[in-house]
Amino acid sequence: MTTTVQSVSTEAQLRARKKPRFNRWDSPWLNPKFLIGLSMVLFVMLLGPIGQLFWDTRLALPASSPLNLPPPWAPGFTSESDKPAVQQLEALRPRATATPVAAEAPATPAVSRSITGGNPFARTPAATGAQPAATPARSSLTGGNPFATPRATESAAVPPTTGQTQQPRQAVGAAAYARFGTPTWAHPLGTESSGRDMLAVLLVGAPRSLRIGLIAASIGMAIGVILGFTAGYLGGWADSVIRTISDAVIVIPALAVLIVIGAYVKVLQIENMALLLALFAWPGPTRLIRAQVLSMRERGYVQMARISGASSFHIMFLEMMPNMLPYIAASFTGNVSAAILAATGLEVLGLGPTRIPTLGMTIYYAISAAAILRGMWWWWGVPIVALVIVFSGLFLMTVGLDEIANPRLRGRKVTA
Amino acid sequence: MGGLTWNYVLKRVGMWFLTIWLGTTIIFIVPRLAPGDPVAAMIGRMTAQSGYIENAAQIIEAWRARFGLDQPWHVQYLRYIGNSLRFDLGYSLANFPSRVEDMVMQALPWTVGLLLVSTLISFLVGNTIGALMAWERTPGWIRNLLPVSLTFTSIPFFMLGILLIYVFAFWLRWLPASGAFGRGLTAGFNWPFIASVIQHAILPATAIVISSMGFWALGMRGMMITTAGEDYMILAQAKGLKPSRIFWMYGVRNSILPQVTALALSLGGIVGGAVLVEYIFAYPGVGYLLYQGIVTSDYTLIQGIVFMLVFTTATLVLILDLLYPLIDPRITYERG
Repeated sequence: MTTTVQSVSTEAQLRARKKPRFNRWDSPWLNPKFLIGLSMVLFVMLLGPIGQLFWDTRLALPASSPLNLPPPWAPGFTSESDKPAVQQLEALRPRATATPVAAEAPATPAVSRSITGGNPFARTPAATGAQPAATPARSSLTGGNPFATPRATESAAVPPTTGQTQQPRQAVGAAAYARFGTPTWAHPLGTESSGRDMLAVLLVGAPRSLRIGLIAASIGMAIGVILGFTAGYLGGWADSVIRTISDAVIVIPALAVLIVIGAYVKVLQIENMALLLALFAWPGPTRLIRAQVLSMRERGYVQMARISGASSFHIMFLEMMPNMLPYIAASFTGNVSAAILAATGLEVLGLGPTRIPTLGMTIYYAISAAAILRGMWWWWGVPIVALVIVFSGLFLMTVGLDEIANPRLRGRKVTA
Repeated sequence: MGGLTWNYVLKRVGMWFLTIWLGTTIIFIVPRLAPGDPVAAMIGRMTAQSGYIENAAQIIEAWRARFGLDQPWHVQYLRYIGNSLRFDLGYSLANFPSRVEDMVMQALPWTVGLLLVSTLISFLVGNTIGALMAWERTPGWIRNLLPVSLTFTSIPFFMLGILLIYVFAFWLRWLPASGAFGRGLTAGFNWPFIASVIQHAILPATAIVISSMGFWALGMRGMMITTAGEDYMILAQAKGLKPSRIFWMYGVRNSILPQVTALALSLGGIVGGAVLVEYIFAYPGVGYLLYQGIVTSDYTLIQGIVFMLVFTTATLVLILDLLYPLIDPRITYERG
């Protein structure tokens, strides 16, 4: 009796488990991880074409937006290293005299000229004394940068030097830096030291970085498919040659060799860069496809096709290839990710295309300008966030495709 | 010793030679693809970047003689390979009297130390996490926690490094942002120096560990799911063994083997990633030296370092390959 009850319950369970399989929308390709990852990658990819409609991408050119560098005499610029220089500058400043009240005293145009070091180009119309008496001293704080004026005026209202030197110096310095180029309504993601608008850089750079990866991985994949099928299907000496070489190449630290090439061959275009990266993108797919072909060669349907006289080409590309699609796709997304990683790696070392903004080059500029220790998070943060979205999207796609290819990995309760 | 046969060892050593030969050949060919005399091109680029160079003509002559550039290319090639195999990497172009191999040898211990420790930690932790993810008895809260820790997987080493510097060095000011030891400390076997070295290594090592951990965890999870369905696991349970024993000695022990292969395959990528981590953290290892070589257009230094990286990676893979039969006694390498 107990056995019948059990069998009924298991049958019911079976039915319950099988039910969704008859739903025609329940394809293994509708894997949530794969779809989320795909949408993340598509989002970054569409940033370029769609973003152009809403934002002027010409702002990604150097000097098209305000700089984020404060002038050396801005309040709070002091740090341990340039203390003497700042003291000299402060000696020139009218407000730096012993009594802070002196700052409110009418400053003559002659004084403000001495602040700019007598450089006629450094003077803005405001600094020539056309405005009320107190303003020249203040506007001189902005170093003639008209964009920085409102913020600098704010800070000038605070009692000057004496109060600020008592605070921790570096913190003050960072705070002062952080005011320049911070995100505003005019530049939602801030600007950087060469006067590029970060939003425009993102719109121009992110799709480009993605494109490098796509081109490189496609070339690598094409080579991998050809070599993998040749090795796995033909076997013999072709197999051992291809396998040995791909095993050897996979061990070579690709980035290091790419650095040598990048150092000699100055990369100017994105396509060249992608070609370079494809040099090391083929061994992975080759190995994977060879292993799959070896395991599939003995399957029933392949032997059936062989017996019925199908050509090798037909068996390889019409019988085996469709069954390997999830594997190939998983390997492809993994490869795109690896290629983008290698590309950003080269760019972060300064070996990328210098004339076109890409995400990696932006990080390189940010690091060379010590943006991390200047607290300018938007400068390195924007490209990193974009790259993290791309990498996570590709990673999710790879995991999802792995699960599509290998149903065991879908797990029972483990679906995380 | 299981499958450690002469045939296997010979094949592995052959692969080791092939890898190094391929790497060296690429390094040899690339400069010669650029039009013109490589030495003159080197000097020319250096001049363009860093201004006038004293005795440029003499340097060019000396290098031509050294490379034997007047001789046919196969003589040059053989001489180059011979020099490389004897670790004769020549003089640095930017810091002329010092030799490349000396500079690399000074930097190598830092890189090897950092990489060895962080890769080991990430391999152990990542595999444990992956095994736990696939283990039925894992408490629910750990299982929910683990995928969160894996979100860092997709962030490359150096980007995580930048974030870590910002948070822990710039914002919280807990740890130093760059270098390998504090200023004013004499290198030696004294406590302040060692403490400083550890303190400086925490951030770069964390960057490597956190971002490579997930890779191991994912692979391990896949293997562990397969292993969990095996009959011997059920037998172990039926025998009434302790769950921890089943987990470690039956589950993990049988799933770890492909992970070791994966470690050998991904060493090249880890080395490449470490180059960038060192650059971000100004850690005085090989990667930072390489960056300095790029900045100063020191081509002999760049080539020498890359040769050393290829050599080291190939050697590490060879060691792993030779250790493999010891941990997997089943496999006799007939097809290897």
